[in-house]
Amino acid sequence: MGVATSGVILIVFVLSALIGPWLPLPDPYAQRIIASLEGPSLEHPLGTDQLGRDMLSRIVAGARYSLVIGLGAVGIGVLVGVPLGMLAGYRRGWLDKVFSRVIDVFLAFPGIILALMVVAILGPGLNSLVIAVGLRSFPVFGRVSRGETIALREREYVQGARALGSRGRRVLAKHILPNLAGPLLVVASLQTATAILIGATLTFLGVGISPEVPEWGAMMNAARPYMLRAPHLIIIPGVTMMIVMVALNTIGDYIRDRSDPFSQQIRK
Amino acid sequence: MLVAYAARRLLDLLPTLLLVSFVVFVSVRLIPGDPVLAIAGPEATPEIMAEIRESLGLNEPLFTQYLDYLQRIVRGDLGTSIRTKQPVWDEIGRRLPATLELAAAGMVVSLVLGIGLGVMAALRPGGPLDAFARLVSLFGVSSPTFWTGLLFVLAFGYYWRIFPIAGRGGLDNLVLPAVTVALTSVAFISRLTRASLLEVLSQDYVRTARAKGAKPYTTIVKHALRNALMSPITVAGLEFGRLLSGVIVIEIIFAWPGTGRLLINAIQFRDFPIIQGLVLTYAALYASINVGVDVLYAVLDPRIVLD
Repeated sequence: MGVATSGVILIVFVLSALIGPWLPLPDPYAQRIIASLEGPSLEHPLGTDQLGRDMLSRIVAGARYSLVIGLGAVGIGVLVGVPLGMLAGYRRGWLDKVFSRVIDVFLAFPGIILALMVVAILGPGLNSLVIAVGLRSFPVFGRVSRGETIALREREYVQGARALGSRGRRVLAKHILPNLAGPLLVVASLQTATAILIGATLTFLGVGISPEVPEWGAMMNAARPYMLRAPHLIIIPGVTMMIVMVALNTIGDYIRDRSDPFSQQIRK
Repeated sequence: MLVAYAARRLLDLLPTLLLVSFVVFVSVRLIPGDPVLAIAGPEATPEIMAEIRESLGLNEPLFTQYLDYLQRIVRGDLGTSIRTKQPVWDEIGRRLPATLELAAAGMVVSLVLGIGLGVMAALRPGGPLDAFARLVSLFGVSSPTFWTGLLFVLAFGYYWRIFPIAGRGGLDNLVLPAVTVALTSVAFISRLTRASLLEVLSQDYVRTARAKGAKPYTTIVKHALRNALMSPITVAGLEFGRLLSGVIVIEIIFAWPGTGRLLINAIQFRDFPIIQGLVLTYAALYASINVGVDVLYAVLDPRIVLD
């Protein structure tokens, strides 16, 4: 999929999330049992679900949940991971040792298990879902910013700034952080995809969000018993997710290739 | 030398596992809801509650409780499930073989398919096989594992009825869940194999082999592949973590009698001894697999200095 197509898809995704409730679509919660499990029609372009709710409205409404989970989790990952990683990479010493060990431990938990545990501790709800997925991504951001900081702190201009008397905080904020932006943007776009995927897996497992909410994973979970009679209930949310994932991954790769000439060489 | 190295790497695991056990111990105690109430039932008198609290050691300081917990783990005692009143280790041990079977099968499938696809793609970059491999890995990365599982159930279990879609038994039961669980790793491993084989193929010693007239097959299998396989094998260890996550989800879709259902139920019932035991088991498994990979790595590449 091309970069332009991916861009358009992401714009549609974000717009659905932002203005979804004001679009001229049926209420995603409105049930009409008589019209349940219908295939696509003029009235319901994507058919209806087991309770006769309009699938198109529910898919559009689901974009909002996915965006909140994806961006919220990445936000937590950046806010927690980047300052810690930069500090560890800049100061080194025992701080760095402790930080690296903690990151190892977090990465040693298989992703879903860590997230399941966090939801179990915090209780169900969108907030705990976002925190659970965010805790999964902070070690990734931490590791990248630590590594980049270690490389950057030896550069001449950073050494120069330090020689001229800049203190640690100023060096980190003015000289190192701007140079982290490129790599972090790449990680962020890929992590948004991962976060949306983990979020949907949790809700598919019935953890975090109640089943009537039009979130893509929860929709597929609720539709499982009707899967044979109405496969579109499973296929449509899955394909939608997949398209968003491919778009996010394509954009991430594109930014990486643009910002890192070395990776371009490898690709050839 | 190699044995000493393996032993040292295993020792390195201890601090990490201790930290994991401490984090799990503390965080599980943050779970709202009184475990004593869960054990005693709603009609328990305060005296009975106090007695249970005392017998569980819940009146001790947290750190004493943790040390006590560690001692019991070392003795192989992970506590008792709140829900079933069975020893935690029995509950986990009964289901662990099924989970391990699925994870191992997933690992085999992801290595075989991943390396196979990667080699095929690298033989003719830009060719139709390369395009196919790219498509498979795109699908693997971007489709949620549970969704792929559901699609497989629909396609192979209902429409074509090739494979059984529920339960554990013979090899045919294993095919769909193992392939589903492997797909994401296949994506990564095949991309990595392709990149690393292409790089090796451009090196001087491969050119020399070609120049002296070695057949393309010999060049690739005997000269290039051994070096090109180093990076996929390294990630294979990391991929195991991804596989374990996948297995938990996939077990539920294919009604596989492993630890996944146990974990989900334990979380819904707040059965914290089970959650604790399972997380420790998964972490120990993951860590020891990675040690195994490190050792294998040292065997494959004699240049690696063992210290």
